[in-house]
Amino acid sequence: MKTVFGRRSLLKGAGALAGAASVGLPSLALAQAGPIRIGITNALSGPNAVFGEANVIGQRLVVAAYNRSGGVLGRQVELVVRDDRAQAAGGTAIAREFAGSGIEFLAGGGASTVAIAYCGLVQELKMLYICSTPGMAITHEAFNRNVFRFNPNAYSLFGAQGRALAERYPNVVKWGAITPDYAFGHDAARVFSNAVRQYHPKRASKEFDVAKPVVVSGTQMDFRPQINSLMNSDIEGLFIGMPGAPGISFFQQARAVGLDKKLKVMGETSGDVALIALGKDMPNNVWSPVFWPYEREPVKSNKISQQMLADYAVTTGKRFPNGHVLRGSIGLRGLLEGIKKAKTTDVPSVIAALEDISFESEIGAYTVRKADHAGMATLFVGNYNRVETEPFITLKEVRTVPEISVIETPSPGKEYIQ
Amino acid sequence: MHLFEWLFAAYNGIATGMAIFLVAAGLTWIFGILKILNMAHGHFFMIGVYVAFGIIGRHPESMGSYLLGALAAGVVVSALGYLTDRLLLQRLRNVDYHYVLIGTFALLLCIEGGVRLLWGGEVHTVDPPPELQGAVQIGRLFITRFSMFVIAAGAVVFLLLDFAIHRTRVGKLMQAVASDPWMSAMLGVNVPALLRISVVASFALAGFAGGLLVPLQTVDLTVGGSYLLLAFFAVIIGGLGSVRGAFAASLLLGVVQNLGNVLLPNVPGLAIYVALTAFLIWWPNGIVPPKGAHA
Repeated sequence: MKTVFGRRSLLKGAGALAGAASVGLPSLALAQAGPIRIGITNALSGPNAVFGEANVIGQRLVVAAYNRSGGVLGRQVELVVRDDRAQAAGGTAIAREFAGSGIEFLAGGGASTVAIAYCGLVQELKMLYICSTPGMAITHEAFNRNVFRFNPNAYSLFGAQGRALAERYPNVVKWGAITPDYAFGHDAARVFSNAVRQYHPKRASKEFDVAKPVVVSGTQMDFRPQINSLMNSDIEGLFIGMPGAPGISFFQQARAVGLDKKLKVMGETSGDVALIALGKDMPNNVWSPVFWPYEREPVKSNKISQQMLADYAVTTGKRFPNGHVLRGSIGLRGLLEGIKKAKTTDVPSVIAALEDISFESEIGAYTVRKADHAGMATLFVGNYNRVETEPFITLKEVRTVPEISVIETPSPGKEYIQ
Repeated sequence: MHLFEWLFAAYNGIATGMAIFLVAAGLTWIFGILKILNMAHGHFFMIGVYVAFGIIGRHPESMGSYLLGALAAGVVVSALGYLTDRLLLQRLRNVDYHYVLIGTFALLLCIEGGVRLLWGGEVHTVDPPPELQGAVQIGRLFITRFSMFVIAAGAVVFLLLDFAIHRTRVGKLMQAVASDPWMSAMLGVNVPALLRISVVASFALAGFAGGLLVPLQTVDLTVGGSYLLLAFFAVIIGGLGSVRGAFAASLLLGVVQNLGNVLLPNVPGLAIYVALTAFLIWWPNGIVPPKGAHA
């Protein structure tokens, strides 16, 4: 019987292998020995740059810390950072460029529109995407296996805030909300109001009431008619759903007529970055999501947090990072821990490793829920007060809420309807 | 719906309208004279906001320092207007309007980048001066002193502009140039000089408006767009190039916007687009159309 491989065939095969070794295999070997490259996009110009830059600083600090301790799988980690200007079209072009240059890991895309565009793209590009936006769609209708969300979404953030304030202010029984007319605002106000209804100690009493949210235009900067109505209402606790500049304008206009003094408590969505803008006019009864309470326990004693804070000071020359630094860092830390756990940079293996990962982060234990790839940790809701020295605001009181107690039931692939 | 809500919406509409007019005045002026729709107008308003903020800080000490800040903002932006005219607008005067839109949009992007380099991307706030802080309560209406000041300031700026355009020699010459630059030149009018004065005046108005309205909004990179869209609407509804039209339209838009939000609280902002559509259908040349305009 004639053998399949003759001597000549064997020689040809050996020659081909030698050729491949001289051309292809060294490049493969180089890829394995070279740095692990991660593509980062965020808004680094335009109005959202203040958030995007903070995210990227956090990501760079995490990578620098891992590289100092020998890298991941013995390889250094390299970030390739691009400006997506918070625009989906620009972001998707950058993601394709990353894929074309062999980058398999993508993180950032701070704006929800960019993040949702990435969700639709990364499976096609065979990339793994680490998302940090609070948009509900990421773990619902836009979900796919290549996407992980490593920060709380609107449901967790404002569910925790509603619960914390309802329990903290049992004597405030008349609640209201004002919200911008877009998805984030509606989600935030609805979730906050529902949490107040669910957790308020006096929810069964006759006086208890949560009014229907007042809706304002998404571009509105003048809230005086709504403020006048609030001045004439019996509402004692108010949730303000306008993030960023419109929210700040609301506080300014509320202060002009004394609404901030009339209300016993206010909840807002932006946190430290926005509240600093109010300067000495910041009301002392405002509660916000706190992403990185590094000055308060238990985070103050957390070694990873302490190291990040020290690295931040050395790198930037500043002493007081805002919470958005952590929003960037935590996802990168999760990704690098996932690669370590998978012991390879092969994307399907890293996805599998991330699906049930637990790791220590700046804010304590961090876990990922396998069903919808939602990251979970402890959530912090804080009451900032004005101080005369830098950073001009300080956390007077922090309440912690385990995210597992307020996060929505997973329904990946389906729109979340409350 | 309570009566006080209607009354307050109407009052606040007038205050909003005056703020819109302060921004729209420069926009309509430059269009009337040069026939240039300056896409970057809102960003020059933003420069005015930042200049005033740089001078008076977060807490203006007095009414005098606040007004000085607004005037300085007007002066700085008018100087930038002079430079812009020399470097850009002069080259756009006799070209297709597409190039004008592209050119002024590019200018907008440059300004945004420049402001960010100079002042950073953080959000700031500015208080009204002590004399304009607080509110007056009339029954169930809480009227801020600053909103009363904005109404007065808008009225004064309108009266001064109207006087300057219709009662002074320079104003009448500008109208002549706007109407027929060739004939004006034939009659010995220094058309280039008048055009340059118009540009500088338009930019000065944008800067002054920025300085004057700085306590009404946040100081950040989005402030350029806060009134620009409404100012464009006011210029369209008022009649392109008509200061009187822009004044009437601004008031109208302010009142429609505020009453609309009270009447249709679940679709905030809709009323203003309905009003714009209605005006474009029934008054396509605007409330006070410029002479010779026809649909």
